[in-house]
Amino acid sequence: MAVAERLLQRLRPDGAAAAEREAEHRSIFVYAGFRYLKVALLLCALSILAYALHDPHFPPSGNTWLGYTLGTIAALLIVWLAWLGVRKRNFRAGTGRVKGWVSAHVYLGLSLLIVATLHTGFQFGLNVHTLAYTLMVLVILSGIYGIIAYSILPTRITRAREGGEFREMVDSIDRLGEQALKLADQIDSETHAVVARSVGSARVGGSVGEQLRGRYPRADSGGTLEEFLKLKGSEVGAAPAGPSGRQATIAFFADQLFDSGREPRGEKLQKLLQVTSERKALIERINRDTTLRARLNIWLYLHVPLTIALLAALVVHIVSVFLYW
Amino acid sequence: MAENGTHYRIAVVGSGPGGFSAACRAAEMGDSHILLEAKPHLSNTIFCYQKGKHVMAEPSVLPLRAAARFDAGTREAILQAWEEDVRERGVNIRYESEVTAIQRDESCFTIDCADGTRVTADGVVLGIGVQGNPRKLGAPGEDLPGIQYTLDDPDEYRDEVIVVVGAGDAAIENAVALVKQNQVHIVNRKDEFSRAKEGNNNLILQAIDDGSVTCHYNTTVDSVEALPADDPSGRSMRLTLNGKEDQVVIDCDRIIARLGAIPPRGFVEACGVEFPNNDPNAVPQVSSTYESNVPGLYIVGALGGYPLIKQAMNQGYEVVETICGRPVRPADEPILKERFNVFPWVDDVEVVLDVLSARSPIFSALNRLQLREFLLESTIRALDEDEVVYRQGDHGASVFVIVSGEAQVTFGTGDFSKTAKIRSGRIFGEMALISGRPRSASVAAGKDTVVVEIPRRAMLKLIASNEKVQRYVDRTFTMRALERFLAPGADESELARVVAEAELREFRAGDAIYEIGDAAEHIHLIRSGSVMMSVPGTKEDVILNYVPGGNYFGELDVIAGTDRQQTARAAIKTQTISVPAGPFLELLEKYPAIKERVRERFSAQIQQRLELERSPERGAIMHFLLQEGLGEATDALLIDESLCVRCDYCEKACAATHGNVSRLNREAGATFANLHVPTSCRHCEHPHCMKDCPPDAIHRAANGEVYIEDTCIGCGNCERNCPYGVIQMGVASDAKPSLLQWLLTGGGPEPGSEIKGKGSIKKAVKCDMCGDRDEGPACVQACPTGAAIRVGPESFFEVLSRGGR
Repeated sequence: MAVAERLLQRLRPDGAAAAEREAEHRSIFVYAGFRYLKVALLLCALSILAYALHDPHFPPSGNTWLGYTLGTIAALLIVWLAWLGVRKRNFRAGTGRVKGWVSAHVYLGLSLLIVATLHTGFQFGLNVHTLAYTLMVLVILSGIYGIIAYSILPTRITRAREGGEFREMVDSIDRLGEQALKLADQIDSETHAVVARSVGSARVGGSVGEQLRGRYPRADSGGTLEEFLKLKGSEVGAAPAGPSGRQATIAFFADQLFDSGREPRGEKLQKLLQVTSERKALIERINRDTTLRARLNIWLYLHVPLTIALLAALVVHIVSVFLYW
Repeated sequence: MAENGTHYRIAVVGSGPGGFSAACRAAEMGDSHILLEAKPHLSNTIFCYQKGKHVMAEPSVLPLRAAARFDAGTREAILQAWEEDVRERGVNIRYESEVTAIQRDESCFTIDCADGTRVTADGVVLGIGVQGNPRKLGAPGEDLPGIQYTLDDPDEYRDEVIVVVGAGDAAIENAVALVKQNQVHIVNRKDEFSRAKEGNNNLILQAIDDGSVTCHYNTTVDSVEALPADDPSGRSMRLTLNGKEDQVVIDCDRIIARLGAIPPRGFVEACGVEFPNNDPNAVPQVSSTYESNVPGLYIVGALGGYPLIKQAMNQGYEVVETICGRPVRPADEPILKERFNVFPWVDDVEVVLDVLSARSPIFSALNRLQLREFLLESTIRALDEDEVVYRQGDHGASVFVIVSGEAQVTFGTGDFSKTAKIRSGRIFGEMALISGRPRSASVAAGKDTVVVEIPRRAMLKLIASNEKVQRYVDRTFTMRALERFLAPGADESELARVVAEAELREFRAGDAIYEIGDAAEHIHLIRSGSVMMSVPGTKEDVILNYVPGGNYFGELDVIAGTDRQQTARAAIKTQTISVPAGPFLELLEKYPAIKERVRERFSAQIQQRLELERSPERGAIMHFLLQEGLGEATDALLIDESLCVRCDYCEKACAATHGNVSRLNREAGATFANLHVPTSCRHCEHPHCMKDCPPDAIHRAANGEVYIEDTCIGCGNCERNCPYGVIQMGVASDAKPSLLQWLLTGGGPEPGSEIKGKGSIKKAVKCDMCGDRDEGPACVQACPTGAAIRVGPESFFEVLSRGGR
């Protein structure tokens, strides 16, 4: 029954299509069965082999036929690698997956360390040639940081976000701040003033250094809110004992709640505590997110300008070599 | 001003485009007439459009034939032109005359208005639209002037005490918008705001929490009374509420009742007009002259199923000509004539219509007017022999009626040599229409074949409004689905026996179709929707399998002869055809080949189940995806966040390739484990956005893409109907930012940034799956790390089974 036969084929998952879909969902490192890793390794192996077999009259340098060959390969590679910046923004006309380009960029970029180093023949000095080489190494090192960051940090960012959206979290912080003020206002004017100061002074984010280190000195009121609450606690004769800080605040509140029973002010205080700590947690979450994203992207601020510098140095290097030939 | 009890030749009820056009024509020809309008202005539906809204004049092929003007333009310009038309033509219009009853006796119609006046007329034109009237408070004092049913501009009110009655989205939005400058109460009949969208629910709870809105739960309105101007409260009304325990009294300035609308159907039925069925979308049946089953009562415009302004205006004109004995050829005559070019030997449109009616049970179930309308929306195609109409796996939901010749059907994309035939007069293509899935077979034309291709919307409208057609389509579908999926090669008479016992059942999202331990008495074929199979886990159900539409499930237990081993639940709204186990097992006995295939499926499923039981986290991800609406998706964008470096190149690529308006929002949307579902079109099986598109501008291409045509009138219905928020109203621009300029000089916008177009006509934009790009979706192409992937329901499991590394 031919019809039924064909029908059955349809019911089974389509092998070829499934394989294709799986290939879509692969990272740049394993792209196309490590195609570019293989190319890069081959390039390195050939360069090393040629270097080992090459026996120039003079000590090895960029000035031999092998030196020129390796130099040309390296220079062309550098220009092509830099072209990724253009290609990935060429949304309308570009062909092929950017993913493929990135995969090649990573592996061929790393192979440059071997190719260009062999090109130098290990002759370094205080000159524009070594400058170009140094810049290249710096670009590659920043790229290696990038590879590591790209492999580790995305998962951490997702985890740190806990499902929240950035915009939404920022809005919630504003909203909770307003809510805290309203609640404080309903307690007494003194509480309101302190909460207002605390809400007003807390900042999200910080300088580049702060972002990268993950320390945000302006993330909370610097303890003024806690101090005030201690003070207020002593007024009603229920000063918090034990360790200071957040724990103390909570302990103080617990005592006060216990004393005040079902008094409405007590309820308000409980709510206020809840709102302010929720807000604080959100600020911390956003700051953590900011840190992770800063660490994810910081290398690009070195990688790209250094690349431009490298290109300039490369031009000078090549021109000067030909001038003094 | 008309006198009470005056008799007219024509009474027009409702001054929307249809009614207004009818009255203009009557005035132009000097026919005695009256136009009754409930509101103090013309055409309330258009009046209520937002200020400055651009109104389109679709369908552009249809010529306007009316005694009034109409052209695409702003709401204001159109309303102004119509007011001038009313004045210049001398239309006898009576505003603020809400009609409460229309009765017919032997001689004429009697029309009663809410203000107690009454007129009589020989003929009635009913054009009251489908918006309905807002539901009133239903308590004494409900007609006081301080009670309103809409809120145009919340900033208009200041320092007032305002009570919002209702707990739906409209009520919440109004209440929250008013808190800034007023003291606001909200009255909720229940103890929660469960009817509202989640965002609104959060908004109102928060407003109640911080004290800016006072909420009265479990409370109904007892009465409203007006307060004297010098009342010490300084307010104008006293509202008494019945709380759970005691009464609450609020002195207020304004009451906003947001209790929904009463659909006009009740009123229309009270006039004697019959509807074909209880479907909320059903429209009353009318003759080719728009006359309802009540002789002399004509129905025009949206109420009759014609939501476009131009159609309604033409109808108003034609109806008046009919009533006054000046018969006209319909305005669509020349267009139909052109459609009938494939029959060059017949010149008379009517003759062709006769022939078509005689050819197919679908066409014969239609009256002349429906048939005309239907053919206007359809295409008639003469096909070459062996011309392929569609291939298996194509998307598409149009239905074909074979007018002459025959069609050849084959499964797979293979050859048509060994095929089943579909005879003249029958239909094909109904499977994809009903299931929302890709075509399940390939079809090619036979010799001298002519087919009528009916687009999805026209067919759905017909099915909803015509019981005969519905039965015919359903039976055809069941029969073919059974043959296709359960019993290929089985004899037609034998199938007919099973179909006779098969039953169509409907389930809401989350309903159990059967549960563990139930007796296994049926096999289920999914007509539309999708189903998840699960077993109870420690915390929540563990999903073992997901069955998309068009497939069957439940046969394992039937064959094994056990009770149900899993629970089957509808993932979304689902219809199944349940086939009793007995006849099915008999079929298996008779056809060993079928039995063999079922056995193979059996073992494949067991394998998959074991695999899933080994890794329950995949079940959890599945659960998440279904929750996010991927159960009805045909092609959705997913982001593997373990690979995503948050560069937003997917968004930029989308904007750069789509008029500088991005159609996806990477960050928005839910995340589970490392799987993120961005806000981007899922290309649903039965797209919600298509539900209510006045110019029928949303279509599905053969590759599955749901796209919006340029005929979009910017009404925003699709944006509201989409449950996933993926449609935006935007203004596209032609700008092509220069990459090198930006890169080298920093001048000009970055490629991929959002650039607003000039002009003010906002149109709906959504993911079109980059249907016209050879490189496939730009978002996936531009992703530098391979985090962005597109998946359909068939590949969920494959995607889940392997991480990105």
